[in-house]
Formats: sequence, C-alpha cells, structure tokens
Amino acid sequence: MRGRVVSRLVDVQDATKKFGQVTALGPISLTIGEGEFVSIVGPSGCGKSTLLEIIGGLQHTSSGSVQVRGEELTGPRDETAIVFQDSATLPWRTVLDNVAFALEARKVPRDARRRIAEERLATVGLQDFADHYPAQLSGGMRQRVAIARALTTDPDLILADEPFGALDEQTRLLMSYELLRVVERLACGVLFITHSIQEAVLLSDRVIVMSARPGRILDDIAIPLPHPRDPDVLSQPAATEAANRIWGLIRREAQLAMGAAS
Amino acid sequence: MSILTSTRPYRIPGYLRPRPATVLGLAPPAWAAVLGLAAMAAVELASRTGVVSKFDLVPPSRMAARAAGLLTDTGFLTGQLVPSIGLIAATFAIAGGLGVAAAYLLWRSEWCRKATLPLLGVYYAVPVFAVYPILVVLFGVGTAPILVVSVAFAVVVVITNSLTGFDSVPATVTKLARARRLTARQYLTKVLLPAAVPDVVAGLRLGLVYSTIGVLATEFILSTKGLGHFIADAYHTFRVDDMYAGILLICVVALILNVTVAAMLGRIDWRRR
Amino acid sequence: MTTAETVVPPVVRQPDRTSRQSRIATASAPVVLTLGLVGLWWATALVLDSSVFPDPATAVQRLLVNLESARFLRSVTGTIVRLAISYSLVVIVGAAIGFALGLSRFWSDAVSPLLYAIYSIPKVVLFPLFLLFLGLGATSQIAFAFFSGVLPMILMMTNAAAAAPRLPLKLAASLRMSRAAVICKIVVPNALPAFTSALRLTFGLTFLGLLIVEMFSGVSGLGYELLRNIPLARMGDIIGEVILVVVMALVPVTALRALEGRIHRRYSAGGAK
Repeated sequence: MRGRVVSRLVDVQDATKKFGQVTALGPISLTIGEGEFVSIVGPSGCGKSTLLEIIGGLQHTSSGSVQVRGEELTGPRDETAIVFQDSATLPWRTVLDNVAFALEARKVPRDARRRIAEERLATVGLQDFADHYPAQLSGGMRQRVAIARALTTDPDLILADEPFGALDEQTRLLMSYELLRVVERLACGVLFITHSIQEAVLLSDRVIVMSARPGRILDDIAIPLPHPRDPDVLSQPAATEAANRIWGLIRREAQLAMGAAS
Repeated sequence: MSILTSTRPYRIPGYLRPRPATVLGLAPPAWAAVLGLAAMAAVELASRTGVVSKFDLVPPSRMAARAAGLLTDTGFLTGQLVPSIGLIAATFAIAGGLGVAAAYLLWRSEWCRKATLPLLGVYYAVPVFAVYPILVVLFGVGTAPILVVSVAFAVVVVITNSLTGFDSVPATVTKLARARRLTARQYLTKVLLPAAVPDVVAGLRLGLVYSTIGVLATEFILSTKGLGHFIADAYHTFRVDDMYAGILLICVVALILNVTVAAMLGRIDWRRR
Repeated sequence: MTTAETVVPPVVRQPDRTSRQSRIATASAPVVLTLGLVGLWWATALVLDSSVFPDPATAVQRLLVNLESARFLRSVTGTIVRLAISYSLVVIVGAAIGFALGLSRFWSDAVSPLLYAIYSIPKVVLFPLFLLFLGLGATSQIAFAFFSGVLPMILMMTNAAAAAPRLPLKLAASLRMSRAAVICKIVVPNALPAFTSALRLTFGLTFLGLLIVEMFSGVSGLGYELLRNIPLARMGDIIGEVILVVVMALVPVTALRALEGRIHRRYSAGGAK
C-alpha cells in the first residue's frame, strides 16, 4: 500500500550538469523513497527534464553522484521505466505491439509478451484498441499506451517527464485521475515532472520546487494527504495549503524566468 | 564519486550520444576538404605515372591549364561558352517566370489543380528529352528546340515548389486578409507572394540546376555549338585534353551560377535571415 | 475600397469532402485534361502537313508496325534490360550506402558536401568519361544510368537514416536496446516512407540517364532509335517511339506511387488527432 516509505530508492548527491561553461542544473541533492511518489515543479528551462534523464541514466552528470538502490548509476537500468512527454509510440506498429515493445527489447518470448501487454492495456482501459494504430488514437489515449508500456516491465521506478503536457486541460484532469487509480495499486517509486500544481498535489507524497536556471531545489514540500486517494482529496485544507505554498514559490521563479526572457 | 570513474561496463548507448566534434582532430568540413583533395591527388598521380593510360585520363593540373587556355580563346568564348551561358540564363528566366505564373493559376483554380497535379507528379518519371528529336525535325538543329526542351524540363520543378509556397500561407492570415477586404491583387502582392518566397526560392534554385542540365544535355546529344557540343565533339575527335578542360569549365560555371543565384535569391528569402 | 475588383479569393482550403461528387471530379479531372491535350494534338495535326506533324492514330500505327520488326524489338528489350539492371543497382547499392552513411552523423556531415557538389554538376557531360573507361557497349550505358540514379538515392537515404526521431531513440536507450536492434526496429521502419519516395524519384532519373546516353552513343536501344529517325525525318516513327517511352515510364512509376502512398499512410506519424 502506498505511503509507507521503507527505504531509499534513488539518492542524488550534489549533482550538477554543465553544457560547456554554462551550469544548466544544480547542485541538486534529493532522494526518492521506495514506493514514494515525488513530483517536480518548476519554471521552463530549469533543467527538470535533464534531471529526470540523469536519474534515468540517459545523461551523465558533470559532477556529483546518482545512486539507485545503493549502486552508482552508469546507464539506463532495466528496472526503471520512463514515460516521455510525447508518447514515443511507433506509428507503424499496432497499439499492442507498442505496449509489448519494452518486453521485446528484453527478448521476452512472443506469447508471454502478448499476454502481459494485453493485461497492461486492460489496466489502462484500452483493451479494445489493441489492433488499432497510434495514428487512430487521441493524444490522451496514446499516453495511456505509453503508461501501459512502462508498466509491462514491472518497474520499481517510473520516471515521467510531463506526460500530460501535450494534452488539453480537460483531458489532463481525466488522465491524472486515471493515473492516480493505476498508481495507487503499485508499489513503485515515481518521479513525476509537471507544470500543474493540481496534478502534483493530487498524486504526490512530496513536491519538489525547483528554481529557474540554473535549477536548484527551492523547497521539498510534503503532502500529508491520506492514501488511498481519490479526486475529492483536493478539496481538503491540507491540499489547498500545500498548493498555495507551491504557487508562492513558483510565481516568483516564473516572474524571474519571464524577466530573463525579455 | 564521479560517474566517470565507475567501472561498470554498461554506458549510455552510442546512438544517443551527440556527434563527436572531431575525428582524428578534424571537423567534418575539414574532412570534406581532405577527401576532395585526396581524390584529386589520386587522379593526378594515376594519370602522371601512367597507371591509367594517358589517352584516357589527364592530370588535373593539365586540365586546369587547358581550361585557362580556353578561357582566353575568343573563338571558344563566343562560340561555346557565351551561347551556353546565354541559353541557360534564358531558360532559367522563362522557366522561372512561367513556373511561378502557372503555379498561381493552379492555386486559383481548383479544377486546374486537380487536373494537372497527377500529371505533374509523374512528369519527371518520363524522360522529357525524348521529345527533342521531334522538335529537331520540326525546327532544325538550333537554339529554339534546345530552349523548348530545357524550359519544359525545368519548369515543372518551379511549379511544384511555388505551389507549395502558395499553399503555405497560414489559414489565419488569409482570414485576416479577407476581414480587411484586400483585393485579389493586394492579396497577391502583399500576402501570397511574400509568404511563398522561401519555397519559390527553393524552386528557382532547383530550376537553375535543371536549366543547366537541360541545356547542356541537349547540346551534348545533338547541336552545332555550345559547351555541351564542345565536349561531345572533343570526345568524338579524340581531343582528350579539350574534353577534360571543357568538363572542368562546366563544373566551375555550374558552381558559380548556383552560388551567385543562391546569394541573390537568399537576400529575399526571409526564412534564412 | 473598390467595388470592381474581387475581394480575396476564398481559398481557405476545405478539408477534402469525400462526397461521391467530389471524388468523381478529382479522379476525372486529369483524364479530361489528357483527353483535351490529345484532342488539341489531333486538331493541330489536321491543320498542319501530316508528314511533318502526324496525328495520334498515325503515330500509334507506326509504333505497332515497328514493334513487329525483330530489330526494333531487340532494341526495345535491350533498353528494358539495361534499365532493369541499372535501376536494381541504384536501389540496392544506393540505399545501402546512403543508409549506412546516414547512421553516422559525423561522416554524413563530412561527405554530404562532396556528394551535393557532384550532384549539382550536369552529369551528362561526364558521360564521355564513362565511354573512355568502359568502352562503347552496354557497360558504360548501364554504369552511367546507375550513376544518374544512385546519387539522389544516396542523398535521400542518408537524410532518411539520420532523421530518426529522438524520442523513440531515448525510449530504446532507456530499454537498453542494442544498436543493431535500434536500427532494425526504429531507424529502418522510420526510413521506409522516404525510401519509397526515393524509389519513385530515382526511377525517372535512371531512365532519363539511360535514354540520354543511348541517344548519344548507342548502337541499339530506344534512345538510339529516336535519334536515328531524325535525319530520316520519320516523325510518325519518332512520335510513336515517344509514346512507347511514356508508357514504359508510366507503368512502373504508377505502381511505385501506389506503393509510396500505402507505406506513407501506414508508417507516417501524422494521423488522426
């Protein structure tokens, strides 16, 4: 059951990322506990995606360390699953083959692949679309395919980079409820990047607020709402209080970022 | 400690890593120059040492020398070089003008577009030069058939690119123009043509390439003067030096024409500013 | 604001209404145009001297007569065989080289400028080099036709291989997929639409190259037949042969366009939102 943090899954110590001479990110230190849902919110360009890719093993840090399950990270891990902003579905494959793609990369035999993919598709409610092509699906449905794909490998860590960023407001809301329902039944750690404070508060155990470039952590806010959660939880006072606190920090940073742009 | 000192075997996959800036210390443009020069040096060596027969391959140095010599020969200049360049220029001008105008017509008339587009799509699949013999029988060997065939060859690429350009006006801009009640002529000059410029420029650059190919190919096949004819003639009369010099000159002329026209057109191409 | 001139033409493009009426119009328009052009031809032939400008019926008749001659038939099959060989080589060799080059961003950046430079030379003037080194026979013709088609194929496939979209690559990296698996499962399928387009475009270029060199130096083949009839002023035969060339080009190209359409629909990322 979610909410009981047992031990550290991800441990980032003083990580920085430089591009040439410019420091884009850091120094950042954060932890993600096993089974913990952590959101990151911050202004555009602050390096959230870079941080996620570093924890996902897709980029090296310029200094500092990243440990997952106590071991130094040197590349992508089998037990980590990443959900990207654009669903990264392959348009020439059916939905089912897309979901099975991760298992295919693992060389899981065909029958087992199919079975697991069908199960995960059912989990996100798309079992009737197994033989469709991604082009025939809406943006929200494609993201559900991406989530189903992430779940096929039974990850202990899911990294989601603004998965609902390309969707319209109403679809976003529905998708976040959908994600809540799926995630409540899992025990994995989740790192979730979002622009939406509402999503962050609804889904997370902790919300990390990052500053504008070079991104550093401004605050690490615990969300003391009970599990299991449902959409009504947002009306509780603790939720509103957390949201306001986050918004106060973000507003300043967003203004700074806008000022820097002009 | 730093990741960089880790001894775990697996690293970030190569296909995700950015392109290396240099290989063996040279960046890509330097490599392009190196490879090009190496090729020329190989040719020079092969021809001078007799690896390849002296009647087949001429050292690039001698090609260049003979080309320079040709450039000072007024007979060559007036009989071959200038007529060819003139024809290329005329072809380009006509194909360019006709092409843009035809594209505008297609853009205005839905029926014309539907009727013509499939034909334009297969146009370049059919060897246009096949009609050259027809024209020669009708008009004799001379400037007119070459001009007609070359314009026919070059015009379609201008049409297709210009049409893409006209289609690229965003729908919201068109709505704005209608809200402001622009006349058709104002719309053409103030909205359509400026919006279409990048694609029209792309089409014109290709049109120049096709004009060059068209003129030189027809001169090559059958003609009495011009650069293409010069090379064919040199081949037939075993004047290998002249042949290579002519080829070299054509390469240089093509390069100069392309670069000049690209620079001129680049000044109005707002996508490249 | 004048009242005489029309306001901006309402060409905010409507999404294609797939009503039966509009589909019939779309399909019939090119047919109508073609029939109209043939009609124009017939009318012109009636007006002009029939020996100088024959009508369509005469041309077809001459073609059929020629096709009964064994010599002519050998010529035509010779061209078909040479076209098949050179085009197959273009597809196999060109796609392989282009694709391999595109996989390495560094080397495609280094070599592309050289390829583009060669591409912009009017290739036909290089044909005498082929004749010098490969002799007068079929080999030099096939080699030149191959050369005409292979450069665009290489350039297009290089771009296609290099254009693999970044997100699927990141996904593959996060799944620890090997380079070979990424190439097979992501880069190749992604490049397939561009490959079918390249198939269609290079066919036309290869055929064109073959025809031009057959015109210049063939002893048999369609290009040779075309040129041979010029001094004999046999317009009927010439036009009949041009019709044959058009048919020979259109049949494969129509099939290739159909293939291209199917692959693009299945493999392209654009689709219903």
